[in-house]
Amino acid sequence: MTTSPVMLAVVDSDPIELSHDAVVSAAQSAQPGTRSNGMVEIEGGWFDPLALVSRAAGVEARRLSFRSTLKALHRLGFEIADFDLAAEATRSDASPITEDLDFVLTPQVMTRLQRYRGEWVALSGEMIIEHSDTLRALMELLGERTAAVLKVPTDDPL
Amino acid sequence: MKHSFQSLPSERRPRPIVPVRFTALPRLTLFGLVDSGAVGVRADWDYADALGIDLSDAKQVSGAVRGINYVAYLAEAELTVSRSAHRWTCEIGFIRNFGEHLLLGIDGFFDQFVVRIDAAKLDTQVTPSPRRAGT
Repeated sequence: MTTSPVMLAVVDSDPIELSHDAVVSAAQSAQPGTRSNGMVEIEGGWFDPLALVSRAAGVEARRLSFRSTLKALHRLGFEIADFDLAAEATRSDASPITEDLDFVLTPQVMTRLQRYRGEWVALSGEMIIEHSDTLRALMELLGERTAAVLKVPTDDPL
Repeated sequence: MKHSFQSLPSERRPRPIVPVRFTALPRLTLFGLVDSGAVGVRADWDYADALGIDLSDAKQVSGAVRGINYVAYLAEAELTVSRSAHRWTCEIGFIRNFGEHLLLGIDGFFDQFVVRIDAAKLDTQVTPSPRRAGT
């Protein structure tokens, strides 16, 4: 972890610098939410990482990678709910944006998916970022974000 | 491109999965299960809805997956393998309450790609076929 600025990957652009102070400043003018997977804690409040970093860096949220954003926030010393970034520690924060297209269905993800049987689920890296009864509703929840999606079967695996 | 086998909620063991996208839904990456036992590409009805495809007059074909009979409504859509520039249009069978992942079968996938599955290494390599259908 560091409080020195880190580099953050941006879609279709060069990486940009993100500082601890810029994130804290952005949080002071944002509305905190409730703690859930992937939310970042800033001075006792929980914030949507993409919205927060978008504000802090002056970049549209749709041009940010969810995973790279979490990694950058982690390296800046912020706590992120329910997300183990230890395996990411050796990777660069400015690594290619396409890494978020990788499927990461770890045993832990598979276990968490069981809660959503019969639902559509959106994943970013190892994070379940949204879920809904229909794909169309899921897309509305996702907005401009990219994600891997699947419908969790209701039956037990064969 | 090589793609690692993945575990899926519907499967007890890792399977050959290729990440694909509908060109019209570029923000969504789908779990394509490579299935040489499937006659074509089969997908949940919700994808047709999201794509805005009207299936009311679509040709219907019947089939079975895991012993369960289904009726698929056929329509064309363009797909791409994620992180690849290769796009192809194929006929897809959309099925109500499919309960399966996107199946990549013979017509629409195996006739587009040379597919090499190495189960020992748990990876799948797909290369656009020089003799692919429609070209």
